[in-house]
Amino acid sequence: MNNILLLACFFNFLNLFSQSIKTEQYKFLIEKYIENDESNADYTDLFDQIDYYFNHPININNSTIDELVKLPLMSPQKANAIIKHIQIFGAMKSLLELQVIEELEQEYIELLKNMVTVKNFSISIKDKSFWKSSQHEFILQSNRKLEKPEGYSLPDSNKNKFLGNPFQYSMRYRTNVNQYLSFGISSEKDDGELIKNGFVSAFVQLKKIGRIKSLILGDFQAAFGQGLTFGSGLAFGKSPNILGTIRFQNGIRASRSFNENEFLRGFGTQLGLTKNLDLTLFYSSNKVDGTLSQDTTIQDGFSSLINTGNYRNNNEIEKKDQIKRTIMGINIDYQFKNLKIGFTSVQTILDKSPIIKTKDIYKNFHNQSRFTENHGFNYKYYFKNMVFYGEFSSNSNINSLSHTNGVLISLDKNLEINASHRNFNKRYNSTFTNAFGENSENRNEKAYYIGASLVPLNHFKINAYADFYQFEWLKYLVDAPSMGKDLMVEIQFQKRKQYNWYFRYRQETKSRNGTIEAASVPLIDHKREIYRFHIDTKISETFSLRNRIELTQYNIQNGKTSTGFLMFQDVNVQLNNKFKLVARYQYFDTDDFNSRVYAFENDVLYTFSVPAFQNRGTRFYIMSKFKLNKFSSLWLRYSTTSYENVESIGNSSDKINSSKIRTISIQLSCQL
Amino acid sequence: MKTSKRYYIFLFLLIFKLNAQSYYPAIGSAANGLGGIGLFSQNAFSAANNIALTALEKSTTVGFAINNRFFISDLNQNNFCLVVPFKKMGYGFKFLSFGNNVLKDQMMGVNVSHALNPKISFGAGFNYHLYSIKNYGEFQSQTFEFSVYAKNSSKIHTSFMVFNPFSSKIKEIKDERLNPTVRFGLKYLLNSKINLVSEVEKNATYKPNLKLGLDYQYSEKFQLRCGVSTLEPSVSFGFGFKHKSIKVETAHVAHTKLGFSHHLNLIFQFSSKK
Repeated sequence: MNNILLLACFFNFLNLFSQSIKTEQYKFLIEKYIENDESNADYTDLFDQIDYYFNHPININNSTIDELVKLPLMSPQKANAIIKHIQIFGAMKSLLELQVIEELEQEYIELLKNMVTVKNFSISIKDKSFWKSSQHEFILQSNRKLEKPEGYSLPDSNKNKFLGNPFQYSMRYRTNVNQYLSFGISSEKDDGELIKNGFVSAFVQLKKIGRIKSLILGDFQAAFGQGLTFGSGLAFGKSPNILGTIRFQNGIRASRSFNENEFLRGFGTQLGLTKNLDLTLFYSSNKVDGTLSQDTTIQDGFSSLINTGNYRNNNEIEKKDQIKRTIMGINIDYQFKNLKIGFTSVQTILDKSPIIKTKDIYKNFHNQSRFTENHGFNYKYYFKNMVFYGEFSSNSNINSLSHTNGVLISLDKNLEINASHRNFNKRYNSTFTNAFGENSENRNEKAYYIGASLVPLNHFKINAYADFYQFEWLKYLVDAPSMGKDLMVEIQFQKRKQYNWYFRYRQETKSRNGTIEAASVPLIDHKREIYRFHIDTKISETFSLRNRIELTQYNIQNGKTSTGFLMFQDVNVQLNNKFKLVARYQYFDTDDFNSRVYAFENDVLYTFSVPAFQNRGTRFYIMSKFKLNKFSSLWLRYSTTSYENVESIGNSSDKINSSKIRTISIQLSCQL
Repeated sequence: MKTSKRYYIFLFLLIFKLNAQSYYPAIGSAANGLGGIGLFSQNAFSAANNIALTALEKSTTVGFAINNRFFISDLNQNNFCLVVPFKKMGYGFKFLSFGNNVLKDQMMGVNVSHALNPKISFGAGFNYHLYSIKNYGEFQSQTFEFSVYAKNSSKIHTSFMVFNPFSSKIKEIKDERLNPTVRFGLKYLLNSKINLVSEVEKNATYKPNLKLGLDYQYSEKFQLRCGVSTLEPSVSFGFGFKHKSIKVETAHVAHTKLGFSHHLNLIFQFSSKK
């Protein structure tokens, strides 16, 4: 099996066999990352990152620790063990040698083999096979809800009337010519939108040409250090994967996401000035959505940025592309042996000023200028079995200095601890940040985090974390300085070829106003507790099952406790390489919005979701994939959610006068 | 007339309430001795408790079960179940009858299950419900159910079942529906004699009910079991005695507020092999 895989990788990783393995590995990886995410983010970026390594495995024999830790789920301890092995025994001749490295579990080796190689794949543009080995991917997708929201039936004169048809369409094309050239174009029309209001995104990327490590024209994402000075794109927060809080990705990467506001548009380049010194420059200029200020005494002001990406009616269209945002940035990275340091400086210029309403006291320290400067210093130092990491950032005013620092220690091959401290100043403002924190924006937060991962017995793993934070300034619906804590413990049993299960307990406590209507002090505690049992079983090559039970309890101090419950059964059938079927029956019952429950769902290629469920009802979906021929696949999906205790779903123009929502999706993907 | 209508509607709803510690409760002494966990009791009553198990049955089995709740004869329930396995398939029939001649809740169901391989089986069933109230009339409903039984490993078995996934209507009462019930259970085979079982059951009307049970095969002929149910706290214990093709089982459930319920069943296993 291993030899077949290696051979498949060597011949451009494009034959059918490797495709089917890849899809399963992707699924495992992506679920691992996002199953705890409740943000409903667009995960295309993540898919692309994983996809890149699967298609361009890195040469394990000449990789540095910093390059290895960028691989998904790779810990510094594992990376260190690989490098040590190579230092002692010399370059690996075969990936089978990974088996003898004690720190790598069998399950992880199976995954790693797809992302690393022991051979060089460098190919010259003069070689005849250069262009032949290019890859092309083309995807057409459409979905629609069978029940129409009220927005479609409003009179034409109503500004909330949906102007387009109820279908969502999207198209993606991407080509990679070896590892040197990539080009991609994507477009999407959301349901209810007119085609002319759809979204188009494109990029061209050159890689590893002379001193140019990467050059991107078009849409891209950029992140440096821990993402405190600048970090756009997807990043993960607290999860059982304690490594998820550390940012290892660095630099620029092409964006294929359908997020219509959170990206950079322009150019970016990463240059290798010397062996150890990298310079990254980027420039972006695009228009983003926002609500302009209604105050006639203020010229060119906006009250909020909007990130929904919906342009279905005249009200939404009015807010489209209202603010021009220009971002310029520079980053210098220097690597000396096990120390890596970086300096980042970014300037953002808006053509309109943010306006803060006087009643919004909690926004007192939010940026009210058209100009924002962010300057920062980041570091990463690998010392024996430890990794020290951190970043210091501030705006032009040093009073806004913010920082995050941490250490990851591998005390034993079976015990890893990640401890960090963060202090995000209430005055700190930035355009894009994605450093690890409790808030979605890195400001007004002081916290201590400690996470641990222990393997006490064969197949067993215990993950736990505690995060204690405080907000020194007010927040939305929190009219006083407040505190909170997150605790999680998970016991996992993994025998991947047969089955794995985990039990997880998570508790989150935060302070909020006593009532929503009026400011009230003292604050009261809101506590959310989640108990989850999950089991995955591979019954045979054809069948696999998945079950979950989840109970959520939401308690308001001196008040009521509401409960949420979820149970589902998944059945996966892989009849052969040509046909796959996934079905889920799910039951949920929640007392209110606070006790809502989340569950990751399988969807067509490149589409992932972790929808929230509230009220009481059942959900059923069935998805099938047909391999039409060597190059193309067809995906079909039907889902239905039936509520027992509501007569309508949604509100305003999104309101559906039914207790049921049914959605159908179809996708055609071609890979050449 | 209006008063009497209200009275009968009240009685009608009472049926649900009485059954609804878990509506569609576990049938047979083995399941009730384990705290009401029916997902793992492989016998004739699989036709009522977990239809996916019927395909795993080795020979035709028939069972009669009676139970009495809290020493009130009006709350008696009589059950008859039959399981006929054939190759990889299992066919089941059940007839359940609750109540007295004033108020009666009857269910008749057929099901089919298929063992796709020795590790997994699926089942689907159709049930017809008849609720009759003396001097008032009858109400009817149809429900579906499906279940999955998996042997995840030599030590762990799991099962999931849904009763009435589509919230069936009751014909004669407008806007009245039967709620779905979902169950998930896990069985741990500690050794050749002891099984630990657990089940979570959820019905829309009630909070989740966690049940735990222990099954001890003392000898080839004698079996002991006990369990707890947490929603309406109750403890249970039971015995099973097998002689050749006949098995007699009892179970006794102590509800913390309402007192004892007793279950007795007789199972006959035909010798014809699958």
